[in-house]
Amino acid sequence: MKIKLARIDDRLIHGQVSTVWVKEARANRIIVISDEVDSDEIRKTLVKQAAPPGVKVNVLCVEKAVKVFNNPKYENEEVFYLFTNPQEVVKVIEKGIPIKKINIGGMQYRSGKTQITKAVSVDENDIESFEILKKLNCELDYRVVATDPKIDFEEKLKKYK
Amino acid sequence: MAMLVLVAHGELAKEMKNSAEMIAGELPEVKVVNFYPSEGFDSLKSKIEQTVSNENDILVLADLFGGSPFNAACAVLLEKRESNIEVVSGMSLPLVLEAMAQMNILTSEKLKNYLVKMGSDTVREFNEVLEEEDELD
Repeated sequence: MKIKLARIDDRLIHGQVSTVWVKEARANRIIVISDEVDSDEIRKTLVKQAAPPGVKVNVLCVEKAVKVFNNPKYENEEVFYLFTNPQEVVKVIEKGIPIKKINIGGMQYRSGKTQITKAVSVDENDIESFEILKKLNCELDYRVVATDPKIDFEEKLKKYK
Repeated sequence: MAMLVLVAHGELAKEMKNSAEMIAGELPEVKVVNFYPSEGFDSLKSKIEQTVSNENDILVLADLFGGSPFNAACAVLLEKRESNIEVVSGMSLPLVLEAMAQMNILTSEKLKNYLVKMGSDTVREFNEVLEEEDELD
């Protein structure tokens, strides 16, 4: 499997993703990797029906995603991975999927989280996961839309530690 | 490479651009002409003329076929044939996003044909029964 783009965006497939990021990724398949969405039939249906024209969408749990990644049948498949949180990105890398760069697009505010940029709110657990991602040599690329200037996401995280 | 102008009743064009920017990031190259209730046809037409003056290869996306923004853009087209102006109605968020994605690649004429062709594809229903799924294993 060829990973064209990996993004954390808890709105999953929405306007920014289906119009801009899909083109940026040039992938013919979006794989949503989320244990939670995989076990929620309503969210699963909603994600799949939002598939952009000509793009296949699958929702997989972490375990299944690793299995699919290692299946030689998909060696030449070009994919766009979507995650809802950094914890599952850590999990898939630790299980052998080589994600070199993670685009951080959206993590909505919930109570207990702190808003650190216009589109991202984090708690201690998230900060820890981002630190692990750095140690795993996974570049943190904070951009909500493709034309956003790159910002130093680690600096933003440090301020809230 | 086409220049894109949005023209519509009230502040629809301005807000259409704002909404498109929510999705695609800033779009400084997209121009907007608003048409206010207090305005007449001539004033609207001259605003469109000013926006497209000194430009060549222009696509005007208007909100409503036969409405004043559309008619005024057509009047400008007829008077300035040398500027390669094209006018399309049915302005919507998907059409604006498509137009901005293609404006740097296509001429206004090709962009017009493309938008007219894809227009009806942008109206889609929620379909709960999905096509047979392509399962991964």
